[in-house]
Amino acid sequence: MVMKRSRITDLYRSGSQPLPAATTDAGILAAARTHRESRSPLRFAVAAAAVLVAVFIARWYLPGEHGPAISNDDSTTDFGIQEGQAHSWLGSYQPSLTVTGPGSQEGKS
Amino acid sequence: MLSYREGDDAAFRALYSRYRVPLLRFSRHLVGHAGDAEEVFQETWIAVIDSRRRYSVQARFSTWLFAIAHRRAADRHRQHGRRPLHTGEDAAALVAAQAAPASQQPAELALDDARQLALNAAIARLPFEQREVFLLRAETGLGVREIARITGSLAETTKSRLRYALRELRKAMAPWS
Repeated sequence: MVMKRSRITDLYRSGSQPLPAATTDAGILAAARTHRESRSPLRFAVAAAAVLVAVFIARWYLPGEHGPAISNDDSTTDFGIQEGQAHSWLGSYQPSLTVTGPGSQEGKS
Repeated sequence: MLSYREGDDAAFRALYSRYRVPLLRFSRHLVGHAGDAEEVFQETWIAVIDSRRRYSVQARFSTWLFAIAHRRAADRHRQHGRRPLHTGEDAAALVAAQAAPASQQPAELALDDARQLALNAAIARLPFEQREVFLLRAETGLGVREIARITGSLAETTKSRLRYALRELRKAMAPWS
């Protein structure tokens, strides 16, 4: 007579109930606990680093954060009427000592 | 597992207490050597702990857990090949682990132990692939498709392996029927 399939499985299941060593149990449970705790600072560090990198990239690439590139090809020497006004003002400038400090133009006109 | 992922240690303890015996028994029968089995057991749980952040519900927890154990055991099997299964120490521990109801007579107990040892020996004689399929079925109650996912085999292949394994075990246990 041959044993039924289900009886084979039942016999297997009713067999030994091996238990891990107490040190194994303790080690695994401690690992589960400490792993969670030790990972938190690391997670924050990674998050902080990611934020810094994102800020750096944003500042580097976003428009308006940089002036126009300096060009050595600019050969303009004539600034027109604004240059003339500046010369005129400099010619009329007469520094004198006042209560508000040297070179003050206060009350001149 | 989802609770543990969110930082609930008690959830891990509940999982561990539920699966520690089936997983260790599976490892012992699959790799044969008690020391190796304990290592597979530990490595499996450490892998669970390490990968909890990546865990998503795509299958039952038992499928995921036993898939990890299967990979660890298969690696060990490839590295060490066959080792003596169920040493004298293991057999003694196995017999000692049997909880004996007070109503049972000594002769009955001896017969049960002998039957159990015969089954263990028959399982140990199975080829690795058939053994793992039988053990997964017996320990988890999973269907052929899920077992095939765990072992990375085709469902038809898994079905055949299970059939061959059960046929061999029934044959080996015929004198005990």
